[in-house]
Amino acid sequence: MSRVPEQIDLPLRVAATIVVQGLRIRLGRSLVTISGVLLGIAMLTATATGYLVKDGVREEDQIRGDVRRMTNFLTSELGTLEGKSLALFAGDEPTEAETRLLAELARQTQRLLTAPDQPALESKPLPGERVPKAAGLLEADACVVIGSRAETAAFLSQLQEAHYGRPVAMTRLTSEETTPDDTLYFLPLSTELSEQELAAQAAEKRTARYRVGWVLGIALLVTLMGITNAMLMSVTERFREIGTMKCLGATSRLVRRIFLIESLIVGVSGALAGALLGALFSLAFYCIVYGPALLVGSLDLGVLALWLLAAVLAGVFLTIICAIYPASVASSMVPATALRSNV
Amino acid sequence: MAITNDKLRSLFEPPAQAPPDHVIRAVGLTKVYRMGTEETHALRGASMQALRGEYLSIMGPSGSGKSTLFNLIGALQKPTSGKVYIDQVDIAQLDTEELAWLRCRKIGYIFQTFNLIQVMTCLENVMLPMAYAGREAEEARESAIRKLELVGLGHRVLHKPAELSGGQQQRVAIARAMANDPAIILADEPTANLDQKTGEEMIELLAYLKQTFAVTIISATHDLKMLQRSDRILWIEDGRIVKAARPDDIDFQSSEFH
Ligand SMILES: Nc1ncnc2c1ncn2[C@@H]1O[C@H](COP(=O)(O)OP(=O)(O)OP(=O)(O)O)[C@@H](O)[C@H]1O
Ligand SMILES: [Mg+2]
Repeated sequence: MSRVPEQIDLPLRVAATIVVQGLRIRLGRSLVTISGVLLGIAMLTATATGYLVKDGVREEDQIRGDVRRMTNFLTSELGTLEGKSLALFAGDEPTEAETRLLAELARQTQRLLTAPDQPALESKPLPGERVPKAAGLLEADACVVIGSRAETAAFLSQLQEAHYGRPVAMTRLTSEETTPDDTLYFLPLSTELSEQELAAQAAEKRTARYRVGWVLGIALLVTLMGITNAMLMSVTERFREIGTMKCLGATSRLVRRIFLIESLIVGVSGALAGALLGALFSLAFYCIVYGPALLVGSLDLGVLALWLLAAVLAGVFLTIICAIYPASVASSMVPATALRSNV
Repeated sequence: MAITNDKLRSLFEPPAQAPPDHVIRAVGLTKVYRMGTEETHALRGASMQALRGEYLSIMGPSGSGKSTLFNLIGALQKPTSGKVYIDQVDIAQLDTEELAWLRCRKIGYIFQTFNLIQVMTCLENVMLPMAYAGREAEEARESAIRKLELVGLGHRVLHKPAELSGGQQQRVAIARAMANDPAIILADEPTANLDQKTGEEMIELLAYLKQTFAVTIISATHDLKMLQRSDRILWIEDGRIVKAARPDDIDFQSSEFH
């Protein structure tokens, strides 16, 4: 023999088969490695989902509080709403809270009359029956008006002309905005937040964002450590095996490729399972804390899916990054040295 | 008449230094291990040759450098100085891919500790070097079964190494070493972890392989039976080959062997 040919380069498919075989053969061990990735990503998604849920719930809580307050204002003025009839007018698109208030009123009262010619109603029809003429509204026990004074000026002046003497509940009017010489009997449903309260709220929001960033950062760090550890373990405990593989003719490239493919498989399966488990665990936990109704009402599934996708991608990326170093160490080891190691 | 190019070249090139039947030739091998400031001279200029188809035993006290010599002539690590020729090729000239090819097809390794991959079945262990050689799975599987039958383990192909006795594990290792029909088998104390009887079976198996397939077998050993069975014995002491002899010329009753 005068020339040694190069060891043929095994195609990716063959390397992948070797990896899959290896993973299947040492199933127990692969499960430990995968669960390392799984736990890391589960921790990350559980934390993220928790914040997502709490954020949604806080918003939902706010809306529910608003609806409760507005209904209370109305009942304290009119007595029980049962059997009453109300006239509705919207000068602007109703907000989420206002929509729910209307639904609540529709549930409690006997009749809702909706004023004709309302520009805001094209996209979101108000509940209740439509009366053909504004005059029909005058029968109602009270008016519920959505929008500020300016937005509903035309309707209000109609009421004024008709000398409407019953309460006119304004969803976006605060008590400061009414004056004693108003001819209409205004019932302001909105509460204006003071300057300090607004500032406090903004500050609260800011610190909340820092806190989320901080906790997510820590979670990411823990995830990173878990994955690095799992991958390092899975390579170092196989130094001897790598030495044997090289004795049997595995090229460095094959060894590296084997570990990278393995990390890809471990990363994808671990991250997928981890993201699902983490999210489910977190959702189950908050389901117990807040109750299923509030949770379902407040959860933004689109955002949650985006978070999960990001977590899976992060998991796969981290796993591969964490595998590159041990894989290159393993692949560049002198066979004799690898064989001597007794890990 | 024009002189052909080959003729011309042969006039100017020095004649081949080794006769072509030297399947392995080591010249002046030294190996120094550095651990911090401490230096260990595992080999201090060892030279040896192995003839094609020969059963060569290497003998020497513990720490004399046998395993180091094996690693060097088996292309498992590089010497500090000196040359190793396998089939006339200076392996220092080979890149990692070519070395992998060499380890895959030219040399079969047998270790004192078997070094089977524990999580794989016997069959998978034997198929591994075949996979590295790019052999097609179905063909490799059949060939691997034949190798296992050859070493007398045809009925145990699907067992894991841990379920086998030491002797059986070493048989699997021998089948694996034979996987790609190598020209050379390097065995570093293959019987050291086995009892006397099993060790003898291993020696017979290696002798059989040598006879049937004309493999060159180089084995480090203290085993008297193995020494007697071999064609030639080399003595290594303190990193040098100090003596070579045929078993017939040796008095195995002398105190050196007891
Ligand atoms: N990787 C290494 N790093 C440092 N020193 C080493 C290394 N390998 C071997 N040595 C040293 O080199 C010397 C020769 O070791 P080697 O393993 O070649 O001896 P040996 O003849 O095979 O011994 P034994 O019969 O016990 O197997 C010993 O002193 C050993 O401590
Ligand atoms: Mg040794």
